[in-house]
Amino acid sequence: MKKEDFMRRLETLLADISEEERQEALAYYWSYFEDAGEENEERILRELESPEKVAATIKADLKVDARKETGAFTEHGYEDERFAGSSQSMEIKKKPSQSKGWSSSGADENRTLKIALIVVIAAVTSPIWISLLAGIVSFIAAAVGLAFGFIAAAVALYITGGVLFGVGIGQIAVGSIAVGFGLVGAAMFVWAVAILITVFCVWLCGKGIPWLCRGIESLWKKVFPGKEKAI
Amino acid sequence: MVFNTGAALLDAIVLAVVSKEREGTYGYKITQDVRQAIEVSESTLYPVLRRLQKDGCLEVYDMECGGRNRRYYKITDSGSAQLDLYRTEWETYSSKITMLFSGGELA
Repeated sequence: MKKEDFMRRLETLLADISEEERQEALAYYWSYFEDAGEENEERILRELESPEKVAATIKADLKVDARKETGAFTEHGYEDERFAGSSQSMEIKKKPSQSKGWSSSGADENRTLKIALIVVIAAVTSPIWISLLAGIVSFIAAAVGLAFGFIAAAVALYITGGVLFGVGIGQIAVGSIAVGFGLVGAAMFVWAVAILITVFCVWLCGKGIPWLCRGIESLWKKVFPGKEKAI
Repeated sequence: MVFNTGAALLDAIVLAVVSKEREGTYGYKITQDVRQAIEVSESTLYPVLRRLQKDGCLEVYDMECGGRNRRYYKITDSGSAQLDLYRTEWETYSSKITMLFSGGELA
């Protein structure tokens, strides 16, 4: 590739930037070749690698300029030129590191981009997290149902025990004493089971549910780390 | 090189190189001069020069040279001020690092 071909290709590649920027860049590289002289032409073409790479370098820098950043993270923390006055800041002009991608400046723009990105990701992954959410909700519903079931069972057993006890006492008084004692015994057994269930329910409310909540909370934190800090 | 040259340091080096030439200097020569100190590719400096120009640290003028126009870069007053700032910061920075490396105690 000769320098003429290189420059033609570069001009085509720079078609989408402003006329002024394109002319500036082309003038620079034209005179660069001419100042280097014929004898260095081949070496420079080799070192520039390709018109594509040169165009990308030029555009990367323009993009950063166009973002109208107002502040930057420097070694002195966040600094904003508009408020810094004449402070002796090392980073008076914000700029990207050379061809190393973006600097940490332009925080506002970044933030908007980040939010947009999160929305897009949330929409794309919605089948996953909606089903996950549904799973968690149904799990909680099942747990609540189970708890109600236990409470209902305990209440029913207390009533059954009461009935058995009453009938048993009646039998002791007027009917078969053996049947009466048997019924009272059965009542005691039923009450014992009811009390056990009650104790279990109390334990569940006191320990089990908070444990469940903590479990869900830590799971949430694992899935969305640093969520609180972001807010 | 092992150490990366950050944007600020690259600016400082370019400003220093340009400031040495009272009458201004041009892209190819700036690149060769900067290369005496650090490794840069031929395409690194155009965006740097352009930005320094936009920031008002450098001014540009065209001068006839051998039958064609050559673009010259010259440091401005605000560019000189910026360079002084960079020099001071570099002094502090480099002397602290040197002190650390040589095993001395920081003041």
